[in-house]
Parts: sequence; structure tokens; C-alpha cells
Amino acid sequence: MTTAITWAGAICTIAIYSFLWKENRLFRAFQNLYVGLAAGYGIILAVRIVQRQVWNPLTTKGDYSVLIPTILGILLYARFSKKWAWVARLPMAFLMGIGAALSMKAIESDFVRQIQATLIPWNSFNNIIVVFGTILSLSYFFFTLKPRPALDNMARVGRWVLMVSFGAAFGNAVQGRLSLLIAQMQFMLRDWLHLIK
Amino acid sequence: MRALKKFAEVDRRYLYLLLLIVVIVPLVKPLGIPIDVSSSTMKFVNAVDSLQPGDRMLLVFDYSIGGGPDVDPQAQVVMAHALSKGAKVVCVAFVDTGLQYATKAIEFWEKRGKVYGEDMINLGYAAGAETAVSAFAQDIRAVFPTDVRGKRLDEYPIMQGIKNAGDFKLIAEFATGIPGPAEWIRQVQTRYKVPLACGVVAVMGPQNEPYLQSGQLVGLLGGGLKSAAEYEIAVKMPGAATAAMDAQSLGHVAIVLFVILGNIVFIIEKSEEKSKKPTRK
Amino acid sequence: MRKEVPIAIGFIVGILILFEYFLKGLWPGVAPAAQTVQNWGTIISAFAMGLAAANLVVIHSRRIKQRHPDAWMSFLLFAGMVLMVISGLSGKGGERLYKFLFDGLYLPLGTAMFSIMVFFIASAARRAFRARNIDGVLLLVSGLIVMMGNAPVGKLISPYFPVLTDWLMKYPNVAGNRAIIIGAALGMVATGFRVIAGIDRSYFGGE
Repeated sequence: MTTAITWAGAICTIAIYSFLWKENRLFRAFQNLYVGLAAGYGIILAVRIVQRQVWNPLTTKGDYSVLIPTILGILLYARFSKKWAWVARLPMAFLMGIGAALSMKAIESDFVRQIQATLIPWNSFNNIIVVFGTILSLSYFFFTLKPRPALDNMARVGRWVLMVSFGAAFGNAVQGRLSLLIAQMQFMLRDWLHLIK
Repeated sequence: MRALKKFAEVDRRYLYLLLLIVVIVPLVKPLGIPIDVSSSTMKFVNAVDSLQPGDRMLLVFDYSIGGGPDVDPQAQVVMAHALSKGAKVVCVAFVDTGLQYATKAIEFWEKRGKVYGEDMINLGYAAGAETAVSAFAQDIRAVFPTDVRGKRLDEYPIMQGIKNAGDFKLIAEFATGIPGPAEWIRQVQTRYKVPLACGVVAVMGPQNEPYLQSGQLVGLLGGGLKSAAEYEIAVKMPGAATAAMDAQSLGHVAIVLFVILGNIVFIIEKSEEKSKKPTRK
Repeated sequence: MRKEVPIAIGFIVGILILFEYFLKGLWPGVAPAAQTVQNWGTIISAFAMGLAAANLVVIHSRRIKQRHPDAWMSFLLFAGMVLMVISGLSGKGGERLYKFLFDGLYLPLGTAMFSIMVFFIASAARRAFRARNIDGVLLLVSGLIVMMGNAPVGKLISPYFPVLTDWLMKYPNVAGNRAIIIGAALGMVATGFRVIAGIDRSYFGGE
């Protein structure tokens, strides 16, 4: 079984890497297979959740309230009918209402807490960088104020600070992508070719 | 000069081959370049180190297949560290493929003598991302009346006295996207004041650094596989991440050289363009 | 009816959760209701997971019906989907097939697909990552320092690389990203308000 899994994994890897040579049908075939498997995996998990959070409470505890989200969930599929597509807005509104309210908690976790963390003494070069770097970067996002030379200059320096942050993200992004390649090569060399331990 | 210009025009497939060689050679013949442990990794190590035998840690597998190889080694070593301290690990996932990684981790430790339901448990996967995180944090049993094996949570000793997210001594969250540190801070850390440490794919590291500085995170593994290697070194459990670091080093050097050479060619081209432009009389 | 009912649902659900979080001291009874609503949200989300599969079935059935030259690929997609579902839901009996499909196909296909991106980065490094102005210089220099500082070999080339990387990450990077976090928080609150109040109805789709 392990050998079959390893060989299948190696063939999949080669098929996907064939894209590096040029776009080809083998790559596209495996890509389609991947999408099918991903969709199938999603269905399995959805069924298990319905079993755990709907079927079991309904059959063992007689909890009929779970039928409400079940009906709402089924209504999502109304979007496939032209006539009844609007009905899918009901569960969407339910989900959007929850999501919107939950995201508003950012006022405490992201807005207040991050401002609090910026209120530090200006007693070192690094603290000054953090305090003024944050203020200057924020000034770059002041779109509602009329442009003035002083604000423009602040925004320009703020953009430089942001560029340094984006540079750090760029460096880390390259690092992350490289890690994925290394891990894939570790699989090929260790599990398939037995060239490394 | 001509060689540099050729580099800029050479078929991309030669570059691909070069990068592949640069990665494969140090994997086969390791160079043994020493790895330093960063302060943010040490904070994470210390957070797990402070767990006492019997303490319950929540381990969240919020990662997809795409970023899995970058984050999974982090989750593995943190789980190994926590179990070695005698802590008990409750696994859960809010990203679908995370469930499979959690299942593999549980299988791995079951084979090594850890007892399911006592030392560790796998609650399963809940859909809804941030909504699910929030619902779970308020009442675990409402979202997970049963674990992945279909038994009620109260039947397991590890779940005794655990009602909401605030009952854990530490939450270790590993993420490749949403839900990630921001969502967990918003829905869990801010409300329940439970120590939260996060491991993320490298690209998400810098954007989460402010949360570490503000104390909302007690530890951050922000460098993907590199952070996992640092953790492995710090807790003396070298594994696949440590073995990957020589290849990581050489790969970085290759890409940095490509960027520098590309920019040298750019400067040359620019100066040539300038000299070709007719001067105004 | 088609507009008012969804807006009312979004409003009631949103207000309930906001009340529970910000004013729970005033009205303790709201907590169980907010919890129930969120549990229902997770159940609806589970149904939403099937939408992607349903969409795929619609699109690829059409492709097969139209006898598209690549219709066999759609069959492959269906085969993957059906086998995965059957093996995953048939308990012990399908365990081996499920393990093979997940570990032997799904996992390596996914990791391989994402791992080839670094090749495109390496190729783009020659022509795309050019410092054309001061913004570009700052971005590139910061990126290159971080790349060298994060590689264990960076310290052997120059001991300044890890020190500089650490400094960049802890100070200028924190300043820049903190501004983004603060700005995004304000954006989330404003958007959240617009959704709950029914002003933002983008989720309605086409009118």
C-alpha cells in the first residue's frame, strides 16, 4: 500500500512538473483529477458535519431547531434555478450578517490594541521608528483629506515604510515557495528514490 | 557584459534546471550550515515549555495542502514538544485539509504509545471559518458534540472540564490563510485572554509581527519551514525541516543572484538607451 | 420581499452578535441566542461546501454534453470526485482506497502544483524584479536582505544579514504592517456596518 501511494505521488509530481517544460495535456488531466478529488473531499466533510451537527442532535436528542439551518442551507442551492435564485439570498444574508458582526470585533483586537501597542516612550531610535513609521504609513491612507504639501510629504515617507514591509513580505514569500519545492524534492528523493534518509 | 545579457535572455528552462540542481545537491550531500534560533521562535518554545504535565493545549490545524509543507513541520514539532512535556493535546481544524494533517499526527503518536482520549484527541473539522472559530470558542460541544471517532466528548478524560476556549492553557494555531492569527486574536485571544501562539506560512510572517510586538501573540513561527527548523534545533528534535535548511540556503543565494544580475542588466540597458538617444542641439 | 427579508435577516443576526459581544452585561440572555445563531452559521457553511461540487457538476456535464475535445478530462474529474466520496463515506470498507486517493493523489498533486511557483519566481527575478524608482529600491533591498538573513548561509556571508533582518522585521516592518492592520480594522467596521444596515448588498448577486 505504501509503495503504491509513493509511486502514485511520484507520478503526480512528474505530471505536474511537466508543465515547466511546456503546457501539456498530461498536466491538464492531472489538474482536473485534482479538482475532482478536492470537490469530493469537500463533500465528505460536509456530509460528516451534517451528520454530527444535524442528524445526531435530531435523532438522539429530538432537537428540531437544527432543521432551520438545514433548510437555509438547502436554499443555497436555489441559485441553480433562474426563477428561485433570489431565495439563496436568505442563507447568504444569514452568513453575511454573522460575518459582518464578527469582523467588527476588530475595533478592539486590531484598532484599539494596536494603537495601545504604538503608545510607547520615544526613548530609543527603534521606538521612534515604530511610532512615526506607523503614523506616516497611516497618513498614506488618508484619502478623505485635501492634498497639502505637508501631508503629501508625510504620505511619501509613509509609502517608503510600507515598501520596506512589502519587501520583507516579498523575501518571505520567496522563502515559503522555495520551502514547498524542497519538501517536494525531499519526498521524491527520500520516499521514492531512497537517495536520502 | 555580453554574458550578462545572455543570462537575461536565456531560455527559462535552464534556470529551472539550475534551481532544481541547487536544491537537490544539498539534500543529497548536506553541508551542515549551522542554524540560529530567532527570538520569536524562542518565545514560542518558552510558551510550550511552560506547560505543566496534564495541562491541555489546543492545537489548531488551519492549513491547506498548498502551504502544508511550510507549516506542517511546525505543527509536528510543537505537538512532539508539548507531548514530551506531559501536556495533553486537543487537535481541531477549521480548514478542510487541516483535518487530514491532524489525523496523521494522531495516528503517528498512537503508534508511539500515546493514548487517544487521554493524551490527545482529534475533534474534527468545522465549516464556516471565523464563524466556526467564534462558535467553537464559546461552546466547544455545540460545534463538536462528538469527536472524529463519533463518541461524545464527555466520554474522554482529556475533555473533562473543558467547556470553552478559555479553558486551555495554551492555543497553538497553525495557518496558511483564513482563519489565521488575525481571526483567532479577534474571536478568541481578545475575549478569553488565553495565551495564543501562531505558526504561519512564511509569506504571512511579516504581517503578523505587530501582534507579537503588542503581546497579543505569545510566540510566532513566521518563517515557515525555517521557523520549524529553528524550533527543532531549540528543542533538540532535528527532523525534516532541519535537513531542508542547506537547500533553503543555496536556493536563497541563487534567487538573490538572479535578482542582482537582472538589475545589473537593467542598469546597463538603461545607460545604453540614454547614450543612444540623440542629443538636442 | 426579495430585498427586505434578506436585509432583515442580516440585520437581526448581526445585531444579535454585536449585542452579545459589546453589551453582554446589559442583557445576559442574549448569549445563548448568539451562540445558537453562530452554530447555525457553521451548519449553513457545511451546505455551502457542496455548492462548489454542484457548480463543477453543472459546468463539466455541459462540457461532456457538448462533446468538447477535452471531455475525457471532465470524466476524470468526475471519477476523482465520485471515488473520493464513495471511499470516504463507506467507513472501514473504503479506508484503503480513501488513503490511496488522499495520500497518493490529492496530497502530492496539491503540493506539487504549489511548489512549481518558485520556478516562475526564479525566472521573473531576471526581468520583473527591477528597481525602477526609490520605492522599488526600498522594496528590493529589504526583500534581498530578508532573503539572505533568513537563510542560515546568510550569517556565513555576512554577520550583518541576520541582524539587519531581525531589525527590519521588528521595527520598520511592524510600523508598516501595523498601519495596514489599523486601517483594515476601520475598513472592516465600516463594511460590517454597511452589510448589517443593508446598505452593502453585493452578496445579493445580480439584481
